[in-house]
Amino acid sequence: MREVMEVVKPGLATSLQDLGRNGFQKYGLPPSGAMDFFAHRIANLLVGNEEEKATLEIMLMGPRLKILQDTVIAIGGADLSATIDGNPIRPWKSYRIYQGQIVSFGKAVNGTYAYLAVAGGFFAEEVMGSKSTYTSAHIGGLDGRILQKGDCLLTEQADIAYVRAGRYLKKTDMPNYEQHRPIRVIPGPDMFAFANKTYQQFYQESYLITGQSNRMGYRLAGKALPHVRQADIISDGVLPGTIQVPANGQPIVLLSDRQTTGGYARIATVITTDIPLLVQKRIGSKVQFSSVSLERAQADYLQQERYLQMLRTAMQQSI
Amino acid sequence: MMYPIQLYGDRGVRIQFGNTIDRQVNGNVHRFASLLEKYPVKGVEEWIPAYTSLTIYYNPMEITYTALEKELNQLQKIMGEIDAPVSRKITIPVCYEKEFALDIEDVAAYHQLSFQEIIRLHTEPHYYVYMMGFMPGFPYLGGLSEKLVMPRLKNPRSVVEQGAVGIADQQTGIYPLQSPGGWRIIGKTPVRLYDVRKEEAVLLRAGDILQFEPINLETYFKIEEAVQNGSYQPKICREKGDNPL
Repeated sequence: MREVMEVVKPGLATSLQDLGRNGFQKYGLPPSGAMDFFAHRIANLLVGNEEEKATLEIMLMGPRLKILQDTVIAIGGADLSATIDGNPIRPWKSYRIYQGQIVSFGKAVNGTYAYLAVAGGFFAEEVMGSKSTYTSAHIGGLDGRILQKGDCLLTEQADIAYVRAGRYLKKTDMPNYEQHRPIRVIPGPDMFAFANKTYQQFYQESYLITGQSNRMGYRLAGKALPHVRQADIISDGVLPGTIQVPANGQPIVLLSDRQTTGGYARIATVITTDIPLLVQKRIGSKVQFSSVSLERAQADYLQQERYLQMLRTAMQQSI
Repeated sequence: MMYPIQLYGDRGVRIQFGNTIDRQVNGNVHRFASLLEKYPVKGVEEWIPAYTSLTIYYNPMEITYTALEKELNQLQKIMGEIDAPVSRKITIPVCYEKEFALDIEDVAAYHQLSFQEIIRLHTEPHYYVYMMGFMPGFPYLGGLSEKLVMPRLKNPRSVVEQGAVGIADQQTGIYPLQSPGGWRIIGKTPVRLYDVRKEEAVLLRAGDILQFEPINLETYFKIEEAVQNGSYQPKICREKGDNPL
């Protein structure tokens, strides 16, 4: 365990995240974890880490970090104009970086969440098997909060002699956060709560991502989605990507810091491969939904997992 | 009887055991959850018990939807053969003194009850933990006396302290963490429902039976101190039995 970075400026909402606190939802514990888990996993792979290592999740306005120890870093996800000592670096590529250098961020070019991975992974005390920061319960990460000026970030592993820099994703493999294709959902589980007409409307209209969106969920605004009878259901389990519709008819997509159960009718659930595309959309932008079959959704999921497996193998061979 | 298995996103399924908030229905939810614990199904990563259903989260890399459905139906067939999970009975000490019971006067006025009667009505029942959710360690309790039912505050407080015990409509509950809230606060427990310093960070489990025990201020502070230094042992006893009815 060694000190690897000092926080000179914390940025807007920078926190340590991994793949979440899994297995404790039955006790009411939100899983947390990286909002864009796909970008998080790739950033880790680019620096030779296992995919579940903790990364820095950076939202829109990035931090300013002073490097305390030579290491290798990579940034995946949103393009927030990262630089090393003022020289621009590319997303989806690993760089060697030396003691005394400064990593900083500038204009948010595209996307919302970037993930900075460091060789060996960031260290934090694990709470229920995860390092993920969950600020509402003050757990995980650094004292359960977002970064502050003066914080010192630790890395789990000090020896980076074997970690290669200069790995990158092919351009064709980089996610495109600016494409306008609809976010795909599987309807239900509360299909009875909405008329067919309402489903048609849900797929036709576009919805604005409002300023009340955060790690718990994205609150959308658009033409209200009416319920057949009532909005309230007997409180029931919710999953990542579940879209609740409260009485005002404005949908809420539940994300990493979601409560584990909810009491509003659920019109649909965003499929796993499309959650990262949704969370990378900007507040103030619009989103459209389309219906997809389970077969297609799972085929895409398997394809993405195989792609990550392939990447993992390629990275291991290139050490 | 086979309960319907429903598609829930591309990584979830949901088994519905009934349509009402009912101990029998909820008992089956926990019975099935304990089956999953006992006979793990490959690819099943976690589950969320609720009032009437169990939501199951799985990894399609490990198991196909069709295979999962088949496995879950197999488990349903042996549901009748297993005993309901053993219910734990947990006693939660609550101080109903005025300095903690911010809304007890309003509750007393609303129902024309004395403080003593409120405390008696609140500590008498054996509450049943239907499910966990809302906040880490928060129990959804059933069993509040009808004589204490009261709507939430019109203007929710921006801060309700950790440990506050309150009433909201037909529910009574305990705040595991400081948070905003609109419940009518009638007391406070020094016990932590959620304590990350502990290996089992969450005290309660769905299916538990819970009873409140009135304590005075002196005892409150004594327990609070013990909780802080980690020496407090909550009163938990295990009751064998069939459905915890």
